[in-house]
Amino acid sequence: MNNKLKVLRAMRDWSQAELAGHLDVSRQAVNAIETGKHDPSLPLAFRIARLFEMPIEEIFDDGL
Amino acid sequence: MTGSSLSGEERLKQRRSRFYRYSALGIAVAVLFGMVSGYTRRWYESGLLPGAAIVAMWALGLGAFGFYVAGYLRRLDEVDMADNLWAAYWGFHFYMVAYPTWYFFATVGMMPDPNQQIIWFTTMLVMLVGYVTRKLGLR
Repeated sequence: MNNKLKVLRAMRDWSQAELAGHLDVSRQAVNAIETGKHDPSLPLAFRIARLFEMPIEEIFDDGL
Repeated sequence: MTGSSLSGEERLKQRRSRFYRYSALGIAVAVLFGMVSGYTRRWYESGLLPGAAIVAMWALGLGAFGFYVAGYLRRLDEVDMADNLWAAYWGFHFYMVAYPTWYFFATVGMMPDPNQQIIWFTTMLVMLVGYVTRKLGLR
């Protein structure tokens, strides 16, 4: 699944570790999501959407 | 400083140290339990302790292990959890094949009876390989 996490992170000038801390996950988790190796669970996707104050579908794109 | 005023990197650092502290605690308790179980077994064999003490110690160990695992799972994020599940999946399927295979060859006389210790340790090794493989990004 494609996502805009890297762009959103860059807009706030956050490192992966910085974002990981805000989401209470490991840095590896942020990396895995950003690179599309792991699709986040629904609760984590909601946390990401709340953190960036955006709808989930604007952050994640399932390509359909 | 309160949790909400911390930067993301500081929160991650805190989270990581909490996890390492918890893991270190688990290892320390496991080592202590191993020593205590060794003494208990010796005292039981020399008649100083009744069999019930051995059962109580086992139940205590099992309870402590369950409590620790529950706490450990709460501290994992979903990617760590997926890595752990993959490792368990590899181990489970290895065991599913290894034991019946060895048993089959033992029944036809081509191998000695299955050695559960060898199978157990190899299963742990396969799980470790599965875990490390995931951690190395070979998902």
